[in-house]
Amino acid sequence: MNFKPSGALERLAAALLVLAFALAGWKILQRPPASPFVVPFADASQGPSRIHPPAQQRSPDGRFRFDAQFVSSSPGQAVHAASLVELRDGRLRAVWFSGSREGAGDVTIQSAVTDATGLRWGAESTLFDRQALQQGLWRYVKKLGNPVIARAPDGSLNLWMVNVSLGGWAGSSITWARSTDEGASWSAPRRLVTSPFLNISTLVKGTPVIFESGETGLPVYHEFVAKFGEVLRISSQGQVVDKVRIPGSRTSLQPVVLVSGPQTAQVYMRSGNATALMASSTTDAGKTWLPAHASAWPNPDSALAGTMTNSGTQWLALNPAPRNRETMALLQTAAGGSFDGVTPWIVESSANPQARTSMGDYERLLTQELKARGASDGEVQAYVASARRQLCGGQSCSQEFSYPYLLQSRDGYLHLVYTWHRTRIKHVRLDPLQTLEAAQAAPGHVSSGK
Amino acid sequence: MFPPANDLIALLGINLVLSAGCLRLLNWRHGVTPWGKWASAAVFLLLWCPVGPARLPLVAYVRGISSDLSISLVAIACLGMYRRLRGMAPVAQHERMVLSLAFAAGALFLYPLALGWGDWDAYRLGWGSPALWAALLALSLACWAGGLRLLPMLVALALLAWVAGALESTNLWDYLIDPWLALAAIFQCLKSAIVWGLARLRAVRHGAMPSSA
Repeated sequence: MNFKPSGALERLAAALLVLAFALAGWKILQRPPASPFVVPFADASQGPSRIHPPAQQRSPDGRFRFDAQFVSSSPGQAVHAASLVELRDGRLRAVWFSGSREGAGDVTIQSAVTDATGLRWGAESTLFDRQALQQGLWRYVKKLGNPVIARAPDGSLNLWMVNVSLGGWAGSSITWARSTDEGASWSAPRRLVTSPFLNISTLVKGTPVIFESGETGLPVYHEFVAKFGEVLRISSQGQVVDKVRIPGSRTSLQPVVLVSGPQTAQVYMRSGNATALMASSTTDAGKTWLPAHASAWPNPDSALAGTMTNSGTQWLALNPAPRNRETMALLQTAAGGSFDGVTPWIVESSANPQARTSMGDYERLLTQELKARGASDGEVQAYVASARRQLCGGQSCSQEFSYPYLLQSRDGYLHLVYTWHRTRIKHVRLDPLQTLEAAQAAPGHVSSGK
Repeated sequence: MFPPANDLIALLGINLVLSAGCLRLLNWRHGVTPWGKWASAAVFLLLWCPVGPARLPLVAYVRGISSDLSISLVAIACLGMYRRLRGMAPVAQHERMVLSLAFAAGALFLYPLALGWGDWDAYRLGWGSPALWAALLALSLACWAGGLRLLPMLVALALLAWVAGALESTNLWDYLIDPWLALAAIFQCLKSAIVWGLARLRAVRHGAMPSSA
């Protein structure tokens, strides 16, 4: 069979070809150009000012104060990868994933909201489970992971989450949903197509940034065959319109973008081979990025978070030790500045991060804190059992404070949520402008990044 | 419950490709039999049956693994199915060869660069790059001038589907090619190269040159 139409069919085929190229050319011409970043807190007067009452808890080294509480409230679950958004009324909404273990089929995307004081978290609810996702996406889904929640330029809330149909996390795709009622209800989930190879291996973790055009910049990363960081440009309709790879980011993942000006931003990334915190920057609003390079901070192959504040400083939350996740710290520097050499604000740390904790000590440690924060005996048992299942081997355990997410609320507080021993999500609230006191018992294990 | 248009098109595309594959396998040696036709139709219907706790059609489970198929692959499968059902002759060898070469070359260009070989991402061209549009136009015109119509028609269908936003992807590459089509094209090219090589070897042994076909 010769696929060569004759006569009228030939003319029809030619017309179809001309029409296809003409319409495609028109669509290409309609594509909006890339636009500058919206600088967070460029208008610092927008947020309500509040006199911050003294916080209750001192940091392990005694230098600063903060308030802390647990967000998640389902005993016995493995919880991980929390993110935060501020609601219009000033309350916070957190989302995270929770299930019998990471990657299990029963993992769900959970959410909770604070009360008006911002210090007490309400009961958690399920936003999405595997079945809801399968029905919304019209395809098989094996497991869910990393949810990231953020406010869209149009005022709605967007939720992006990782899900896998085949294989491990390297087989992930990103699904998103939108809420126009502050997270009380969500649209049917839709899939983002970000890769030509079965649309696998794009994952999300970092806080999105906003462009002046109303588009969103979503930092994502790729894991299949090679690891690298990317920034997706997403239209106001939620569709991918472009993607920029961060050059030289091989083995780097989970990028965190810090916007310091309409054209300037820095990106920091987790090191996939546990060497150093990786960094890059742009001076053309993310159209191109400089080749990634190692910063002075070590990174134990663990996630980080970052945010800009209304006082013109930028913050990172990370595990600052080279080989473990037993210390959670904050780093602060001027907008667009370097974090190399700054003194970390230690939020939580095990007493001796170089050594594993004996099972007995570990259980006592967790029990003590859980009870102090109001857990019943039964709940404590379930939480400890979950932590033991995930972090203990033989007769010893490693402590874990990981996967941070940072947000500054309009009242000026800095909010940090992170995974606490893989069994609860912890929320830390602090005043970033507080006066630091002299260190009392600075842990000797954390390098200063030089 | 009825799927949104994007999902329906994707599910239908996968179903058509699987049914076409079934028809081809069942009629591998003996031509199209009534039994083969009915079995393929049964496969097509069976794949719409809802199963599992999510009550998803069977084809949705395949979609979880296969991902959405390109418009090109669906069109090729439909053409093959139509040709078999109507008892028509196969597509001319040179049309098939050009098709395989074009898709194999596209795959070898796209996938390594998109999966992290170097810092330049070829997949980015699919979000409205004039360069990809111009390359497709040049390829289509060259084929048309050479008397080939199948490849330009596949490109036209893919472009029209992309303009209409028929699939959930916004990237033109996903309308043109997918890994399954790429695999088939590379396999066809390798097979042809081996056949040609063996024929040439035999011809050299017998002191005569093989024909270029």
